[in-house]
Amino acid sequence: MSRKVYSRKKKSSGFGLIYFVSFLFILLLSFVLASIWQRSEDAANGITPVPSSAAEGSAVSEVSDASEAGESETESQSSAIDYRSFTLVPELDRVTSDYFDKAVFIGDSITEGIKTYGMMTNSTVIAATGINISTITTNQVIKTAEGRITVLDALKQYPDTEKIYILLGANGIAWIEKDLFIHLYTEFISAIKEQCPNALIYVQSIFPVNEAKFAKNYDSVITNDKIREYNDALLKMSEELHVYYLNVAETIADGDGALSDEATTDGMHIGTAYYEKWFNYLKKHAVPVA
Amino acid sequence: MTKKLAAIILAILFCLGSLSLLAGCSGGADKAVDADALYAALKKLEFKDELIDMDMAAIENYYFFKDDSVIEKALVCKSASGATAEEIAVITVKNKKDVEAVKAAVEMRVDDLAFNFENYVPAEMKKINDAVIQTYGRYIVLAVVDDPVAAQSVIKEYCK
Repeated sequence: MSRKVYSRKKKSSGFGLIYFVSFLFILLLSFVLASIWQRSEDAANGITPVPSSAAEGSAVSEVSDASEAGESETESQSSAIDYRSFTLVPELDRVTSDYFDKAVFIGDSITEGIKTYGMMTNSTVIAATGINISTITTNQVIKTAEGRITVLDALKQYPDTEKIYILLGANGIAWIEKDLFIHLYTEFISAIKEQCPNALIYVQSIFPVNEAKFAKNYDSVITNDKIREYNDALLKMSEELHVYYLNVAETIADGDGALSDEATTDGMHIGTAYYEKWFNYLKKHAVPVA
Repeated sequence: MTKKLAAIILAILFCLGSLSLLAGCSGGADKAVDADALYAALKKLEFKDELIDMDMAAIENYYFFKDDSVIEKALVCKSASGATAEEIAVITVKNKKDVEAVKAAVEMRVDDLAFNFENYVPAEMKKINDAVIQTYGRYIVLAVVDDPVAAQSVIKEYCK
């Protein structure tokens, strides 16, 4: 009986050795594969000119990790981040109102609304109700003491502008095809760049709408799916033009990606509380400047 | 001679009295109006959009006063979202002589509303075209509302 047991023990000890060696081999193989994969990931991140939102997410965590860890090596890494390599601006440290000194807000009636609120009073608003991307370069809509002038001519009056925020869209996308919309937007940004070559340019996403209210008030149809499609195109355009893109829509939209009933009376324009949300978003998505 | 002098003095006093009576007949125009109460009453009319009160800095983005030092108090609110042309203004000037200049700025504001909305939301043009602009003593009142008749009744109630 005891011999049988002994013999069985001997047999199981032989199999155990094989299992152990196999286990070590698999472990080693996994380690090697993991190393190769990690290196290829690093290389890929290094050559991507404009990070995707996921990559930006990692960049943001890199900044916050640095501040939390307080390690000199990590800190030097974070301070070396080139914010100009971003297009989609991630959430960053909240800035104070003086960030908007020498900032110009360009847009339609939603942007014009900034003048109504006692916020961003240190910035300049060049906006007109009803303007859209097809009329912004030509229509004389900005009132001055000398008469009405175009948005671009109005911008000429602020040669030391450091930041330009553009918000256009909902007025035009009902009837302007996407390709034409992007073409016109590109021309507009090129003209701004020519006038203010050193300014940071932020393109803001088109706000979502409340489809039912919009259809009722404007006798026209705009869907949030269409707005998302145009916003995707705006992000791509921003990457190509090397300007910043602010996904403001994410703070304006409800859980379904729409403008909620309490946010709007007409389906497109936002009320007081949503202006505050918008301004807060801008303060938390401001690219640091030297 | 004394009688003649007395008659002249009486005549002068009579003329002065008549003038003051005439001034009083011009609708009690020098009476003080409770501007805050008038403004609050006008805001109680029916509006499509939420209204937002503006401070003087914000007001001057929309009203181009030639000289804002003539203004004693400006109570102005407009469509908070900018979706409608709805707007209320009750402006008090320090001296009655400045009423016309401020009224001109208010009329210009209504022109601007028309410029903004005529091709954008033409449905708003009715209330812009029917905008109520009234002056009373040192007060200039604007109401861009759906029901201008109701606005006029409110103004009449407070300016009497």
